[in-house]
Amino acid sequence: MLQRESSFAKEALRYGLIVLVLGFIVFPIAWMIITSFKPADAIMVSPPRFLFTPTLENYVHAIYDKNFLFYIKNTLFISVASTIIVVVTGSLAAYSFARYNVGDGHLLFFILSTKMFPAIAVILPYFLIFREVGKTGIGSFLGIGLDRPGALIISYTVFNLPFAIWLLVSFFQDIPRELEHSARLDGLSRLKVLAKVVCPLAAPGIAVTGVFTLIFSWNEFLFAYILTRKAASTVTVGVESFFTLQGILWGPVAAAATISVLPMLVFVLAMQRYMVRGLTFGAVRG
Amino acid sequence: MSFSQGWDTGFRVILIYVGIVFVWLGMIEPYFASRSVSVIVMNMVAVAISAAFVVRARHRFIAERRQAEAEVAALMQEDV
Amino acid sequence: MSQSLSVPASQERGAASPTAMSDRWFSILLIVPAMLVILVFALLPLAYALDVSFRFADLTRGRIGDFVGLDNYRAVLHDRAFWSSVGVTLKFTLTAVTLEMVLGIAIAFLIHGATAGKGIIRSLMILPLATSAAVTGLFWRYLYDTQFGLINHFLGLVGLPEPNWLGDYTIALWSVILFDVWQWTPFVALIALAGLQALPKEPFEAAELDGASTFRVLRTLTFPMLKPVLFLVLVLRTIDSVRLYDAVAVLTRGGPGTVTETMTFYLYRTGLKLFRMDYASTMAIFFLYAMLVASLFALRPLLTQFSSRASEG
Repeated sequence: MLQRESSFAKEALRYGLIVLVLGFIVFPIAWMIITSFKPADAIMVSPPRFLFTPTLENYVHAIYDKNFLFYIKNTLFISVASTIIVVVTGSLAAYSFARYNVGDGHLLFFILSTKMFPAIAVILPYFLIFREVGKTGIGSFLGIGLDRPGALIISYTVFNLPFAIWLLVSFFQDIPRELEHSARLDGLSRLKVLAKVVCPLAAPGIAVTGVFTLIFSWNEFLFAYILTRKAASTVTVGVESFFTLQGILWGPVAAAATISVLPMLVFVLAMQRYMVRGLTFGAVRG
Repeated sequence: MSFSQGWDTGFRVILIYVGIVFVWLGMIEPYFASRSVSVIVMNMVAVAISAAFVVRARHRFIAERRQAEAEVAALMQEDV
Repeated sequence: MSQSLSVPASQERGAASPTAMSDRWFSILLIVPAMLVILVFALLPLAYALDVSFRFADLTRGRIGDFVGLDNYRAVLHDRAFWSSVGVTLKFTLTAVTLEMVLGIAIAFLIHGATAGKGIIRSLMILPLATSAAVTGLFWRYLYDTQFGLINHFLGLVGLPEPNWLGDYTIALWSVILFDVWQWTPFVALIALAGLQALPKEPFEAAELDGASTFRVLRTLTFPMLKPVLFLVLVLRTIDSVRLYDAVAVLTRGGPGTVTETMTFYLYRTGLKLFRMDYASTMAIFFLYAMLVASLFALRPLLTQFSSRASEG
């Protein structure tokens, strides 16, 4: 009897603590979403107001006055383009690493160590190079240069590729070799085996990698901040444009932040099962 | 030395060399009157230490290989 | 490690086209696009940075200038502001990563022991990881606001002092750390939790039969078995923290003064605000060197261990 009571107290304490932790974790995001629906006169007040009539005026301001959808459009184009390149080149390379062990592991580690590069060490030369390339005809034809989408597509491709290759290798390793072997014996060429046997089997893994790449590109700030001004800016930089001479417009900031965060929240919730695996480059298969 | 060991050793040698340069420029060079002398001595020290590292790595690989061969030989003996 | 996918030559000839290639060529062909991307867009720029680090390059005076040997390295190694940014970075990394590890592991144990609702708990924990530090960090400024901020409002209600989170010299770095802890503790917790749930049951049942104390089980069984996972998280978090930029850029812009100026931020300021690309490139090379050494000693052995285990399984 006594034991049961103490274990009940223990459980209550456990859930109490969990609720506290979750509160701390969820609260800033929740407060951001709440603030985005607040009328202007309920935002810059002290003490903070918890009851108010919800309004969409912040969203209207963000979308119409600040043209926030423009940033969304840019971000979507840039992240989707770089994700496609990453997934295609990454899958080919990862398959080769998983099955043929090219470079005896050294090449794979070399690729991983590029992931360890401090981004800023690449951005400074990028800035100089893109500044020059942007002035040339080829640069403007391909959309490469400062404040052009090509610069960010290249940046995100390079910085996500090592991650994608590592994650994809772990997915390809999960596919049993026997299937490929028998397909080879049936007379299919290696390329056909890859296209018709391996790819369908690896599709979930490839999709997961793609979504991770998309999330990382979408949320990236440093490259976007330095390599773009306005024409090719992404959402993370766009939110910064809400700093005005009169101060920060917290309502529209919250609205814009909510718009830019929401798609990623949905993605991540859909990908839950793969979160741990993705975040550890495929090392921990949670 | 196999290709893979060579790759690994090469990478480490570069890191060691560059590390010596950094430490030298930051901490030791102020004690030199002439910069060019300092740079020459620095490179000599760096080459010496890198070479020592390569020699040691080589010895270790050879020893490892010998040990592995001995183990294989011992296993063969057991089989017989 | 990898067995070849070749089929015996007789069948190969009958089945495949006459231009059938060997495994080796096929495997090399597959990695060519990815390697090209990395070589051209990652290594070439670094080589360029290396070149600039040996030259005079003041962008306010036009183009990249003459070769100056090791002078930039001498200047950077004796630059107080550079070392102070290294100090800030180390201080941030040490405190933030320690806090995240301790809290994250504690939370993982907390959730692991829970009987119901794990799914929803985990979903909520993931949320901060989905958001960009630049976006949520910006909003944290509103939370930290001395006048309208919710944090000080709550502190005031309980009767605690209401600090100037981002403006006070002694507190600003801690505010950045708090934000980072908020965003990344769930990451540690999630992975530690995955590690806990993957532990085999038998040794723990045996220990219970033997009547081992909880502490003893933790010390001799749980932690040794969790160690690889925890070490991996530690390394990943450290690598990210050392490169911190986003949170600083949106919360404090390095200020007040330079108390929150991390290495990445100082590099950015030197190269793109003061336009001394030569110093900035030199620091970048220095930074890169530190990361390569770290990856050699920490990450490589660790991931080899994981990947070899995976390929065995």
